[in-house]
Amino acid sequence: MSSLEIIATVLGGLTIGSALMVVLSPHPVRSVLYLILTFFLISGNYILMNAQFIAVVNIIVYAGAIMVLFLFVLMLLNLSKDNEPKSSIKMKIAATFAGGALLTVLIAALKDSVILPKTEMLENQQGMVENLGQLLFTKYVLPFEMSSILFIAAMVGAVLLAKREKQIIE
Amino acid sequence: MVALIVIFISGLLSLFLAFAKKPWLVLLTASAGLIAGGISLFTQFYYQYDFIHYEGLKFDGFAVAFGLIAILFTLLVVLTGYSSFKDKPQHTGDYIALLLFSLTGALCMLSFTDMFMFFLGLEILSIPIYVMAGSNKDDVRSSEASLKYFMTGAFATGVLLFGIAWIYGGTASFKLDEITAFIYNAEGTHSSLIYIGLLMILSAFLFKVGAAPFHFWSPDVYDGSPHIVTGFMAAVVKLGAFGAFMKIFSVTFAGLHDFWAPALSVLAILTMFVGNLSALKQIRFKRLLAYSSITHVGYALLTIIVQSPDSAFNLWAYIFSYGFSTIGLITVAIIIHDEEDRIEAFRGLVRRNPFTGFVAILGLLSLAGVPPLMGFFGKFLVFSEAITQYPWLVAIAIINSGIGIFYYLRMVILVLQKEDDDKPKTPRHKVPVLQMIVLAICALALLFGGNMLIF
Repeated sequence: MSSLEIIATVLGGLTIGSALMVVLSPHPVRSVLYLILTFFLISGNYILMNAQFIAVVNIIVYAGAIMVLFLFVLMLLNLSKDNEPKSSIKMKIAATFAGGALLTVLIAALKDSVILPKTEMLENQQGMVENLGQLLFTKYVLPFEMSSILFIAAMVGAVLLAKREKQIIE
Repeated sequence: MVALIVIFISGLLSLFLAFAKKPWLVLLTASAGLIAGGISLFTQFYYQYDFIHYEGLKFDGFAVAFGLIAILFTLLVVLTGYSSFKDKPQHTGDYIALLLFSLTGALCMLSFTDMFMFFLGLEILSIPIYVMAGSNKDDVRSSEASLKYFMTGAFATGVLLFGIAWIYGGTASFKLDEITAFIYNAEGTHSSLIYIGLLMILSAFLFKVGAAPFHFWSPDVYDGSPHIVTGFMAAVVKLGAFGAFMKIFSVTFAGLHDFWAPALSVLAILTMFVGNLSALKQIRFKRLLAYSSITHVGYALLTIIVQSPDSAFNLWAYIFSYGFSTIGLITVAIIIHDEEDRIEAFRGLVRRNPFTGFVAILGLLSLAGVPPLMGFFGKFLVFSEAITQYPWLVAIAIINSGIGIFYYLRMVILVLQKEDDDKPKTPRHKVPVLQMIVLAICALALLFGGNMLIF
């Protein structure tokens, strides 16, 4: 095993472990903190795959902005043990079955899968902003521009939903 | 491509023209944009010209045929909705713009050639609808519909993205034609990653079109949303989702037909029964429409299961007839304007307002599939294509049509009945001119469209 493979294995294991802790930890705030850790570890994985720009963006957007939002929401929600919705035992059994079946199928598929031959070795400048921008404004310019329609629709929608209606006082 | 830009820009314009506080200006811009979009879509295909070179969208015959009816349905929905949009002049522009943006997404979903554009199209189609479902802010059910649709829709999108990732893992490509070529070349030795990806994409699609067992959102969302949005969801959103469904499954994954067709046929049967049997007991009109739409999704799935060169045309014809019936019925429901949206409010419609009642009967009978109307021809095309390959599936579909006739006819009788004498008489409804036009178009299409489909 080369040193790269060792790093990849350890990083992957840590990522899965902390992702599991997000689901398993009983306290919501702890869960969010584990999620932040997961995002950092995923960024590490991106760097291993030569996607430096994505790694940085992932930290700024997800680990930074979105997680702060998450923590705020948790504080506002005022969670406590009393008003936690209780799921019935039937639900739990059904959920375990469904999840377990999906997991089995996924693992079986991965076991049988044919691994495609590796594409040519990436040069280490591949994931830098310059190359990414080059691709984004030439080959993938249409999806890039289309996403602006998506954002404008989302913005108009958010304003429409969040704005308080003017109340007519008689 | 030009059509897409034209429609998007007319959406933007109507967004800003709303500041003038003149709703008719917005309506004019939006309709002009839609008509111009339709014309440019057609001429671009007819004369084969293109200003811009681009990769990712291809407006072939399939996209143009489906796109034109999507534009037509949106135009009808905007025209019917105008009377209710007008009540809130500060939001008219926003509502109409969101509908137009959503249509842009639908066009994108009909013409994509790679997974990027597919995903973007799906999101552009859905996100405005999540908002529109909650646009009636005074109504708790509307907010509930919006939130429910958003949550479940976001989950379905997640499953879809996961599926696309597995497909990429199996084929090393996002382009549809490369994936097709890979599947054909591999000849049964594909990596099992493709199967998993396919199943995930399938379940996301079944969610988006509202087939059982992924249908639980649809009655609540249809019921809670304002009438216009329900009409738009039933006509345009379903059309976009079905178009993409057919593009991906009947074309790209055609090589794996033996793998997904049995699963899809079982789900189609389930969908028909669930929709029909739940529709029997409904007392609210939009809920009934939701369950009936689930049933119709079950019939339309037959066109995807059956592999034949005519499948695309049959699906087109089916959605064409379904959309007209739904938009007609929704318009009638808007005219009746019952607070509780009960089916009971349809009682005696023919006596109060003969023309509206007539269109309601036409729409109901067309949904039931009664012969001279367009719905019959849509069903006929779908079933006659399927009967050679899947006779048992068609048999079940015909049994279901029989069950369906029961609740449609019950409503037709309600429309024809006299109102109770002891109750205060409902006054005659005043029908705005625009809604009259929409009703007339729907009636003409339902009466004579069927003959057009056959020839």
